[in-house]
Amino acid sequence: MKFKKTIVGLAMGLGLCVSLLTPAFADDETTLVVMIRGLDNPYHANYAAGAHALGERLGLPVSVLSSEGNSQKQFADLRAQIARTGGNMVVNIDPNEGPDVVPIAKILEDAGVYWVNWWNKPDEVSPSSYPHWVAHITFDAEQQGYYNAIELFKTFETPNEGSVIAVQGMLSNNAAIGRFKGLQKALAENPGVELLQWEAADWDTNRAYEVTKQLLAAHPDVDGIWTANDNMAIGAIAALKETSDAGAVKVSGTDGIPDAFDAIIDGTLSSTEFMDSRYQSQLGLTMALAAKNGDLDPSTTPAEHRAFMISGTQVNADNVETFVEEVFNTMPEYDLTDYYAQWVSAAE
Amino acid sequence: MTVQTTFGAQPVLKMIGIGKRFPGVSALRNIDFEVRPNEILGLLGENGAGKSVMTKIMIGIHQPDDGEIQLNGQATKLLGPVDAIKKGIGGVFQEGSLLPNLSVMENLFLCHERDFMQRGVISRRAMVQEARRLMATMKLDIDVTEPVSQFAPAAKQMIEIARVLWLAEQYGAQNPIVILDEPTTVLNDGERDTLFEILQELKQRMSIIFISHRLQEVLENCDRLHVLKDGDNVTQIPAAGMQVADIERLLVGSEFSGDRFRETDQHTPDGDVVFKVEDLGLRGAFEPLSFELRAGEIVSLVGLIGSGKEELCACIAGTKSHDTGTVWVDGVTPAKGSPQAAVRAGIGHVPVERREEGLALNMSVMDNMNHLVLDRLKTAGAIHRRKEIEHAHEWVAECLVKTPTIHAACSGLSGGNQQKIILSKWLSSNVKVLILDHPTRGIDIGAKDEVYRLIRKFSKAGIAMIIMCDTLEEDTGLANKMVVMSERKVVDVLDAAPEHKPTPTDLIKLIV
Amino acid sequence: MQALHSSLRWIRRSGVATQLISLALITTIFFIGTAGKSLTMSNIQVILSLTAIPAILAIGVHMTIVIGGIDLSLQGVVALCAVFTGTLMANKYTTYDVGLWIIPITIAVGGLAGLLTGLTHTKLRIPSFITTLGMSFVLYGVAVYINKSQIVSLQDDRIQNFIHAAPFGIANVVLIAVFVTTFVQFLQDRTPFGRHLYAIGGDEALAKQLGVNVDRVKTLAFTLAGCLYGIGALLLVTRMGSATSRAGLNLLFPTITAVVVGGVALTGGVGGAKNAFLGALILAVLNNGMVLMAVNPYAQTAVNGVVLIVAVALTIDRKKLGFIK
Repeated sequence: MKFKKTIVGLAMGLGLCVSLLTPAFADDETTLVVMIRGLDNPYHANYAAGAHALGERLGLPVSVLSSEGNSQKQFADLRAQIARTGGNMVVNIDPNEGPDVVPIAKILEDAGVYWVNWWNKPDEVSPSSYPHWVAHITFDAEQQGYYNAIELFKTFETPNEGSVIAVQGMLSNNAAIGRFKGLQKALAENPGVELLQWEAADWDTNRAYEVTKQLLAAHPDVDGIWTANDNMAIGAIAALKETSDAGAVKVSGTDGIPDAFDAIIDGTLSSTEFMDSRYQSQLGLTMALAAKNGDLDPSTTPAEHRAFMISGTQVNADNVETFVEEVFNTMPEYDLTDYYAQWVSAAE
Repeated sequence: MTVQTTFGAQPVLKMIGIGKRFPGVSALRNIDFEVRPNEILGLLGENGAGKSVMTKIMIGIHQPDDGEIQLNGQATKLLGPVDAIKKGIGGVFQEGSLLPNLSVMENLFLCHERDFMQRGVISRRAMVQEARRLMATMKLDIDVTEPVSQFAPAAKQMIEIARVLWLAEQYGAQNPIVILDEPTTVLNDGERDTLFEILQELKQRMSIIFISHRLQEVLENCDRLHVLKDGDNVTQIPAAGMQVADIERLLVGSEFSGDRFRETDQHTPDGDVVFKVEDLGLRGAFEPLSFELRAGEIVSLVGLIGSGKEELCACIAGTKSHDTGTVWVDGVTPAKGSPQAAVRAGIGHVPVERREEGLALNMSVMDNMNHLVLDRLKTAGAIHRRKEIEHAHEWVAECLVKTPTIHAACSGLSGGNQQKIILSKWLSSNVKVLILDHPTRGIDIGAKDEVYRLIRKFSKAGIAMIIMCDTLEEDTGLANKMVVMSERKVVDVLDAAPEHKPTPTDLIKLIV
Repeated sequence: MQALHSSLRWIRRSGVATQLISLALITTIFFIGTAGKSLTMSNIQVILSLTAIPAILAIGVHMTIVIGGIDLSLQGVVALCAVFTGTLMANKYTTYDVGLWIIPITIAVGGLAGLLTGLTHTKLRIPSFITTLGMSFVLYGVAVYINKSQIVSLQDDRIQNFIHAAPFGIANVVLIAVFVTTFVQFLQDRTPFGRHLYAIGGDEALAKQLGVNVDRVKTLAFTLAGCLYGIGALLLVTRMGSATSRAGLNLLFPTITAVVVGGVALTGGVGGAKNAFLGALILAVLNNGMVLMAVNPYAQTAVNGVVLIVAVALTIDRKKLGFIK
């Protein structure tokens, strides 16, 4: 009896040791980790979906960490993930806030994890000073604002001659500032178009509706409405519908949300630029994975390939139906062999 | 006539053998009390005699620990203010119970709006009519749709009385009882006369329990008196034929049982003058006055509320700023109107509201005791933990504080022990003069004795004290010297050496 | 003279004097500043239709401020109601189609959320600030979970057409808001429940002692507030023709600002539905005027902050004159 007990005890002790030590052993398979800000919007939901599709294709486990707008949670989740995988992972990050990149870099560099960052980082921090930071990538916001403005101007009764009003996003936001710069560039190239007035609507559909309604009361004869994203474009369209000009006067957006494609089909939206977060997610993970496997050496990669801007998919009335069918409603197999296929320019 | 009619009648409210205890204090002991129909009953007693506990039992806020309450001969329980009013007992208290943001009529009929509903909604017209009728019975000509906050205290009192009567009427109480707690303190003479006029009328259909410190008005307007002292019955007597002096004797009591105030320990000061006020005055509160204290001397300030003694102490302690004159403590004149300057000069203050002002209740015994002497407990600039503990232990023993540990929170201790902690806090600091504002208020007999012992002890050690006590006998017993104030002036300064203490009756003559 | 005197008296008593004066003042400023454009019929229509939904939401929040509490659950409740609308009305993601039954359903969902908040607050004795803040996150979480982050276009546009229609010269959505204001103000003036709200706001402990069923009245106030958020959410969603869990975001701050600007003291006991409506109207006039005058958008944000501070200062001043709690 006593002997039996000893055996059982030893077995249990051994089991405990094994289970305690397990996390310290490296997993055989590299985990694909994406860090996003929340799942309450299609953009980030697609980010996760892209990662899962890639994981399935490569047969690798996927982990989605959502910060819910909380930087501290973001750091804690990341540390826990490193502990769980023993550092055998690659990370693709949309950080909660730009300054968060510094502590994130510290955590990942200490663990020797390769990573790709999107959108936000402090200006003074650059990937070239970190051996494991493969690349920092953003969509070119100025390009988006420019493209959609040009498309909008084309829809005027007399193309490129007329007046517009603009609905801007959150004033302090980098994307909003970049897109507005694109609008300014388009205006400079088209002296026949005049910007009558612009107001901020903080990316919010309701707010955009209210602002547009008031702008239309002040300027009833505009030829087009430029907005800094599709959410606000939807609000502007709703306001236009009440003055029954929707369709005759078009709105431009950007981002590529489902309602925007419907609106292009309906003829109320002139164009949008789709930021394919599925591609974004897969591109970042693929690059980090390549670095980990030795197929991509960050130290020899030129600077313009370590911090750069890419373009999104431009959608207007000409291509909307095929785009929705072939790209938006299905998970495309992206060609990820050329990491720089969508490269527009080096990020400053 | 009135007296005779009320005397034979069956009591409306009868309270038999009522007792009530609070942690550390026995507030009421074996009280027998009755209210008869159509009478104004004066309820008398000094502060702390148990009047407020009695009234709170009558409106159901407190439940008695012993005894029985009978209404119209039936034993009953009063479960709360709403239940009490249903049974015909309501009160009008000093703090007021009107909602300031509601109109007069909304206050009158709060929770009885249904009586004014027509077709599912409140009829404002019906409400206004009924409210005007009630105000007319109170001889009050006011706009009943104005918020209550617009009105003077006198009107508010009338509104409250009207509400009690109306409610009692709604519940069909035969002879309602209204408790009026110090109603006249906020009234001017004209308003006071009106109040009594109305009370005499209202008496025809109700009984009134009248509480007041102004003995003259009590005698003039009450049919019968009930006197309480230290939570005991003293007597109940008809008011007719009584003189103010008789009542005073009842209030003060006659039993000088042994050496209650440790007079044999009384120290006769012979040291230097350590404290002086010279021509100290505050307009509207007290006129310029001077007195001085030797080391270890105890002076008692006696006088009615409004005599100016409270404000005098406040000026000395720095919580109020005086207009004229100076305070002088052992060579220092602290800046006026600054409690910090007063403390630095060596003036300590033990306030009457000790739970609010004197103690940090959520902090430990040790933290409270060491509060003023932290500088002395430092080693190399930081507070030394061991010194802190030693200091606290020393003073817990010195003052016989009963606490489980020095780390216990003060909120859990009895009033007597809290008071001892406050005293020890001051006594352990370098205090030269200590103001004791009602040092034994709300603490029981045993703890009182220990407070007296501490006072004697520190008097011997040379700390001068200014005291204001709950009773005249306490003042007389403790003091070396008594400063009598009346109508904002010092009217006399009496010597109170152990052998020839002034008698309470001497003092009352000076005070009133 | 007599008539003037009594109407002045009415204005003083009504508790909206400051608001009417402010409204007259800013209307005049903008009338001059925009060379008359701000008072064209079409712009007045715009202002009123933009007042309607904020006013209904502000009336909801003000119910809870009048009793001396606060309701921060607004955004969560609106998100949940919006998501219910998007799920149950005809759309391309789900097979449900409840038609106009959506109206009682959204109001009931909002009411139930409010009831839950009220019961949590009163039964568990958790301060309303914390209860409602927590509830906001819980409900928003549920909304996101159901909605799966889609923007749901509504295929049934009957309500949308109705609220934009203007058979009486004013959009129906404005008439709905006026009806809600009148109804709640009537409740407050002419029912025991309404009067008890103010008793609790004046002094909760005293009200309880005087026999007011404090817990029941408070719970009811939160429930009613929830119902109003439900109405507001339904209008927000149908106005846009699409529903999403993000419908409630960014509503809390402007709504509380409207309540305060309307003269409802944050300490409770003062101000009614008409105050909340006026507050929403003042903010709408202000924002509209700034757009018409093309005030720099950077400056507009600052102006809104200043307005809130001034409004609080004014209500505090009023309290000093009137009643001190």
